[in-house]
Amino acid sequence: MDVAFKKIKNELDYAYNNTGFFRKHLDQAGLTLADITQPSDLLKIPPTVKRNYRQGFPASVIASGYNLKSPYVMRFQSSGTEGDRLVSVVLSYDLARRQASCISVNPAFSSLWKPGLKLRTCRFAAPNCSDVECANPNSTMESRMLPDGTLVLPVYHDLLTTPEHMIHRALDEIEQYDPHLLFVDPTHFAFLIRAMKKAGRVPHKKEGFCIMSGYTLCTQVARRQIKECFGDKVAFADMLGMSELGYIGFECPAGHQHINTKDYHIEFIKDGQLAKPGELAEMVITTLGDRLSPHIRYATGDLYRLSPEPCPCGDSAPMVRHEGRVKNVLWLNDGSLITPRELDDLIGPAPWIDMYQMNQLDDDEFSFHYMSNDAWTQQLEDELVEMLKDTLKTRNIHCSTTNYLPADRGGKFMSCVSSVAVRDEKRRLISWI
Amino acid sequence: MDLVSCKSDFPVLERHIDEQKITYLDSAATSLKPRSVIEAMSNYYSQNGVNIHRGKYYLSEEASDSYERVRYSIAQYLGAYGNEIVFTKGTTEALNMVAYGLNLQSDDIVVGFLDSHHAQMLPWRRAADLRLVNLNDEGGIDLDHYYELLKLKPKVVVLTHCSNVTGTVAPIDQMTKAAKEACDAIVVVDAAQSMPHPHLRIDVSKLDVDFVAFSAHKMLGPTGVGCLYGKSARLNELRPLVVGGGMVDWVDMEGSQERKIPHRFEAGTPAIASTLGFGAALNYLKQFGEEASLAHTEELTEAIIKGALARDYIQLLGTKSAKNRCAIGSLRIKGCEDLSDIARSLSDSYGIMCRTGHMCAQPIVDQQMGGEVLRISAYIYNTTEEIDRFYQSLDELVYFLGLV
Repeated sequence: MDVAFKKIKNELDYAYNNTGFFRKHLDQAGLTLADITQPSDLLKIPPTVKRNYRQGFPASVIASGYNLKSPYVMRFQSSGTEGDRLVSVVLSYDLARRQASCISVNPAFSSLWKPGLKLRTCRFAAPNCSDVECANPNSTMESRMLPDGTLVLPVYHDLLTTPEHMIHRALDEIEQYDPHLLFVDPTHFAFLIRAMKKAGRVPHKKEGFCIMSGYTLCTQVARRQIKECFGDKVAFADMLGMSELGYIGFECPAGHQHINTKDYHIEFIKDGQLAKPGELAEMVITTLGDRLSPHIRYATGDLYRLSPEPCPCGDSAPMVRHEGRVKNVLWLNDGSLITPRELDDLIGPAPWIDMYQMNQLDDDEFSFHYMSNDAWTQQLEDELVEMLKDTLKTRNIHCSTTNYLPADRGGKFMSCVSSVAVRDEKRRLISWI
Repeated sequence: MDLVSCKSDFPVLERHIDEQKITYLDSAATSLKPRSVIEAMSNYYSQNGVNIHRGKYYLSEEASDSYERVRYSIAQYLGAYGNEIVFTKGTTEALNMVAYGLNLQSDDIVVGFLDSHHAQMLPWRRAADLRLVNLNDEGGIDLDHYYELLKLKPKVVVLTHCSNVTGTVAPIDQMTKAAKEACDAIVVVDAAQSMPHPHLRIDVSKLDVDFVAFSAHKMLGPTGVGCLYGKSARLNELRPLVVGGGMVDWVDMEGSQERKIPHRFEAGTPAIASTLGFGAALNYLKQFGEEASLAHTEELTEAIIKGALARDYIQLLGTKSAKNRCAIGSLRIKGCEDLSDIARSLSDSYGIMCRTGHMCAQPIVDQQMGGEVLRISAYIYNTTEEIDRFYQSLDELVYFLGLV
């Protein structure tokens, strides 16, 4: 038995023997641990989904011998929107190890791992991404400080309605706390940057710290604004992560995403089988060495393409491209689909756009709302609309500029949403969830 | 979607009363509800039915998400921000919230209009010194009189986008600019009759109004819910009329801390099902283009005016042009003191549903028409044939009632 498969097998054994949920899951599938003897046998195990862990929390997904008060147990809550909310737990050292494994692909972030460094992080993201009351206009810095030294900055749930005084407070607190790391939702942070410029303020500094984006798709429009504001001396990279597991992958200096295969066994599944490199597939993830809440063949609802080529950066971690969430893809009339990432490629860094949202309202019905800036011209808009029509193979796209794009109630802002993709019959075509 | 073919979306229009189909001509009072609105409400009660906000359980979060999505959707429709949308019981409550929340003094001047609904008149009369702009000779708004009253430097100007009795569409763009230039007055718009029409949608990102009020039930939605748009700076200055649960962040033995806007104006459990119906109504309405809405409204208005002018026994309130007018006809039947017989017979003998009375605009109705009126009002599901049929039925009735 090779070393990699042995780790997976150990995880299966541990989950079966220590969590009520996985034992039942395997039993219901008519399988025993003895049925899994080689890597291809893993496909026999039906993927687990978020709903299982939501239903099972805490009693049947936390391993026997642990509880929420056990040492090093950290609790995370993912946004309650769209009915897929989840409370999950992870051991702090597992989280740190996964984080280190992921970030190792990008030396520009090595400063975060200096021995003895007491890391100061500022977080600017949707309020539901933390358990503190950062959307309360009367909250204080102290009340928003997490035990790990992360300062959650104030912001409203509906991002664009965040009042000026809270924007100033967020900017003041960044100056005051002087973080080593700004961990941000890219769309949120681009908003803060625009508000900062509008108020005549400048970045607190332009070197000596790092910016990491996460939570939602890092659009090229948001990335452009962040890079323009902070320049090349501030390391910027996009992380891949999930609130239930922590870091999954990270962007290398060449701008490509690498997936962490040291702490997870990763499968990309298309039509129930392992996808070929380059194919659009759902990521199914199995934790390795997770003693607290092992996840076995966890169908993430995230679409990826595994690169057939090695990355020019030279790192051996598999190079992937995160294409977006299953529930956010755009379904075309001919049955094909466009992922949020593919849509974003089409729009590009667009210096004339500050923020956008594509919304598939129904079959063959789309609206594209965006916030423009001084670089806008009618010709640029016309050209983009023509490209969108060609790509989406329809003339039925309503395009308009706006001053307001609502976030969802939890505070996340999705650049691409689809009423069609959430239909069961569509979802099942590309995902287990 | 074609405006006329939408008729089949309204279940009540499939109904027969005494074997007669229904001709509904009372949409200025309330509109009929399409199937999607009824289903949105019914679905809430059959599949969810729980309270919103602060509940951590699945159903509560699901309901809260749906509820807040309606707020965002209205905000986008108006060109506003999500926190500038306050849910109210309707236009009347919204206007009262502003009139009493601004802390006006009894000698503060407010400029209003004679063709306004009581809801845009009485709260202001009680809260301040209300001065009314007259009608001009054509039955429209006397703008010269308006400009004259602006010289009094009113604190507030209360506009009615579309009158519920004359159907006149006021030039609120021009009137708002004048109010701002004259004295930077707070501009409050009653849009109850205009918002139902896509071609009269107010875009607050382009029009410098401070408050806009409207009701769901006049725009295909359910009763019991409406909306107050307020500029965030204005809403932050407005004093909530009602206090209680849901509008505070913190309460202790000494005092309380109000929630941020718009939640501080939404004390108590709101009309959740109706709000979801409101969202469905807006989605339904959005499928009709502005051009189609304008063309259909002008056709119906033309038919109303033409029918009235062709009959000597009818006096029509308001201007006689279909331009800048909605399909509302307030009619006086000459020689008829009591219109209730006519309204009853129109309903019982012809299946035509319309309204009589002062239409909650008694000052103008009494001044211009000398008493109660018979009002017909048409909307997206009506046709010009129905207007023609109304007049033909009225001809027959007034003859047999011995009025001509």
